[in-house]
Amino acid sequence: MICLGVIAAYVLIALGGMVYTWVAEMDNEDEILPLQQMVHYERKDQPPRLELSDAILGTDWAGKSTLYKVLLGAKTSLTVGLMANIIAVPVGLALGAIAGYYGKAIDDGIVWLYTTLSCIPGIVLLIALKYTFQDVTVLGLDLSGIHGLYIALGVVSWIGTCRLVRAETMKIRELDYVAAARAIGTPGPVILLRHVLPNVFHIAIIRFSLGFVTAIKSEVILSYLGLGVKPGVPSWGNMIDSARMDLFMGRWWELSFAVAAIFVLVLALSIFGDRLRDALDPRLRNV
Amino acid sequence: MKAFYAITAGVMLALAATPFALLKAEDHAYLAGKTVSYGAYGAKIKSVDPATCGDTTSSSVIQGHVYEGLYGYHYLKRPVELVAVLADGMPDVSDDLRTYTIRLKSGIEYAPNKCFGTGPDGPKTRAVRAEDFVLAFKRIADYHVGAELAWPLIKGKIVGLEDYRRKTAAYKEGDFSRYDTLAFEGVEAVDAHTLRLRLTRPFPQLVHVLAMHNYAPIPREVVATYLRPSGKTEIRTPEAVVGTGAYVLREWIRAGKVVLERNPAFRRETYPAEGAPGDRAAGLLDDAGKRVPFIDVLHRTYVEESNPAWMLFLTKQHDVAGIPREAFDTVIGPAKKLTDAWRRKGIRLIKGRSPAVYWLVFNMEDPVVGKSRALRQALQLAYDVETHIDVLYNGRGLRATNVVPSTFAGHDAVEIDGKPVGGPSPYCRFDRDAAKRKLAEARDELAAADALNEDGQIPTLTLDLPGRGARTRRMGQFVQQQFRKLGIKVELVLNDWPTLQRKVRRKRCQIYTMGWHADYPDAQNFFQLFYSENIDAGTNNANFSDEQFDALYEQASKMMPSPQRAELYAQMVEILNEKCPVLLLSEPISFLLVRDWVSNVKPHPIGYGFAKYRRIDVPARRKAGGR
Repeated sequence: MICLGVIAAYVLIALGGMVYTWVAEMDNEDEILPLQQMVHYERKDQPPRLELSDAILGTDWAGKSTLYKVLLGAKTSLTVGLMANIIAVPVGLALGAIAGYYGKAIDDGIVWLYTTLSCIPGIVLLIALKYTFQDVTVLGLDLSGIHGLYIALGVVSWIGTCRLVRAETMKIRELDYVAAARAIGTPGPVILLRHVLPNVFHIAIIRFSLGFVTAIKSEVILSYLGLGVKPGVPSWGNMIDSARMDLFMGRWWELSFAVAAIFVLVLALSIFGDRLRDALDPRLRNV
Repeated sequence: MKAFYAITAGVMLALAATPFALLKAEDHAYLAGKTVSYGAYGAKIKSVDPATCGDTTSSSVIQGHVYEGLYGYHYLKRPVELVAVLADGMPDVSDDLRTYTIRLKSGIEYAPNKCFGTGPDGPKTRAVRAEDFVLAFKRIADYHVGAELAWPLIKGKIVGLEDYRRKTAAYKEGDFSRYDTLAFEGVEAVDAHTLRLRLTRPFPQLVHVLAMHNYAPIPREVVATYLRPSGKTEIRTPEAVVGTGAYVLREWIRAGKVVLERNPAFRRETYPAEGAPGDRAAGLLDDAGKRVPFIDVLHRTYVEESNPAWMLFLTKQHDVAGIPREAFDTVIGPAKKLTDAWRRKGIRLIKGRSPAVYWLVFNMEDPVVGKSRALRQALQLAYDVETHIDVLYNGRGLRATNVVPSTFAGHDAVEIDGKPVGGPSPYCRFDRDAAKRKLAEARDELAAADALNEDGQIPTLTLDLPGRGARTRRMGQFVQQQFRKLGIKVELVLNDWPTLQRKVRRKRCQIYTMGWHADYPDAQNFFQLFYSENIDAGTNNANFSDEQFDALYEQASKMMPSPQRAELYAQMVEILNEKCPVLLLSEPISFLLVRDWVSNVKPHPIGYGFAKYRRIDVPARRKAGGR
């Protein structure tokens, strides 16, 4: 319950951040400033102090409040987690079910595809994809920024779901009710949709919650390498990267608070994912 | 079974030890008893060949110490003053300013090298001859040698230069007979000690160009011994680095380290006896008249990140260091002086002005920024350069007020017909209200050029940045913040350096960060960046083209320094001020920290290779806990 509460709080903060950014973008009079403009050069590199009313967590190189950066960073992390999984889980689910149900050449093809992809270390593949997305624009989306990140993460992370769903489908395919459905001449796609998918859907839900964690961590790593979201977009990865040199000089706050935010979210998500599995996985229920 | 475990443990241990056994230890015995200076460099060395050298790291870490040109700069005097190095006095210039006759100093020898043969006491040497300079010019003109800096500076100015280049294109890269069979009209060895240069037009900056080590003599033997067998035109190995300088390249490991040792055949040269005002009080003239170099070995390690380099300085492993941005506030007090705590550690702060100007370039062929002069002026007015210097460079810089550095003649206004012309740009001040007024003008101009968005807004601008490091990104974000205050949005594009260069060359950038560091102390070096003929040569990367400016430039570049030329310079500055092809940012000031055991340190704004004048007190260093 606590975990759910924490996640809900993050989602609320992210939604708040989203609304705020949107309002700031719309506002041409600059009464509501986007984070990028909340600069106070006269108070740069301040440690956390209570007097800095809106910056009690300290400030960065341009005098921007670490507190705001952490809060607005939630939006980036959560959208990345969400979007990456929205791409990855359905792809994994569909391919896994098709491969598991039809078998033979289709199965071989899909297995070949994901084995090949999983041969390449995930982070290397991510970096390579992000590099190829430089200066690429598809359907009006500039892939060198955050959209490319969604796609790159999606491409890398459907494999796990696909494997699990395929195995589960192969098992379900042999069960009596599927055999019965086939015997009365129900076409394959209908069987897949009606009888197989509902029974593997719990995997998708679990993978969704766990995949969130991976996506958030990857975003942080890529932003740290300068390949994630564009500079200036509030994100925890960008914060860690920008604070990397600062830590050396004893300016710990920006790094620490970004890491703390990631830690709490990732922990909450992981525990939540585990519990979800306990609740949804029929095998575990009997143990 | 016991034997199995013993063998396993043994194999594991052996495997774990291999890295240590195979690692080569530093040759400490070689350094014993010698005066060694330790330091770091932060960028990779791209070239050890004077012809292909174009970056400051290659020049300052290796080439400046090894190669010498005909002329050079006085170590101490400011403003900088030319001195003859390999030449015997200043050149004899004909009345039409087109023929330069230069006598060489006699008895100057190359550092001993195997390419000159080996005698009973090791490698031999030989005296420098005028034909070695001819070879140097032939290599720069050679089609197969990528002389990225040395070529554009003399292009079109020496008789037969282009002709020679065209002819060498017909030869294969490894066919070095082109240096013997092809004649080069403009550069000629009259006898062993006399060199004659013939120019296509007067080029008053020639002497400054000859002061660059890029035009150092190259002995024929280097080509025969090191280049011919490899078939490559570029000098790439340490043993093929043969110069007349005070040091010899002993070891060079790419992205590793550089070891330079004293050149045993270095001519007798003494520490200067005169300097700029204040040098005597600073102790810079204490060694006057003594023979240089003082230091036996220059040991430089490649340290890419600023933090480890800083740690090496703090732990007394290195003698000299810059200050990382993050550490700046702890080291330098509010008055831009070293804090007492640091002074007590036995550290001195030495500041130096660099003849460089940093700016944001507007691509003048861009359909938005190129079309509206008012927009460029507005952006210049709205940019808070003072805060930019303070936040991004810890105040290590001055606001640039026109394209010519403030230490150069040509920076200040000149009175023509009772009116001041040139001088500081009227737009180089921080005035957001004036900027907003200019922006209204810019809207009209852009509307006329049909460059506004559908909703009548100024389109989002794009800023291309070199690199993806934290520093670069901060710079980009700062620009975003500044322009946004005018209501103009900026998108940042992070590139690596080669990608940015390629994009700039293809004119595919809109705004990008650049700057220029003077090659020689003449404002002409900065004006050539805006001469339209140099658009193709790559130096005019703003793609600025203005007929009036071109005419003034052509006229001025043939003139020796004179009041008339100063007027032309002022008029050129005036045009650039008004048209704003670049958003002027800062002139850098370098801060150097020096340990007390190092003396005779004075940063030189232009020249390289002054480590020969530095002195290190090794006993003092040991006593302080250093090496």
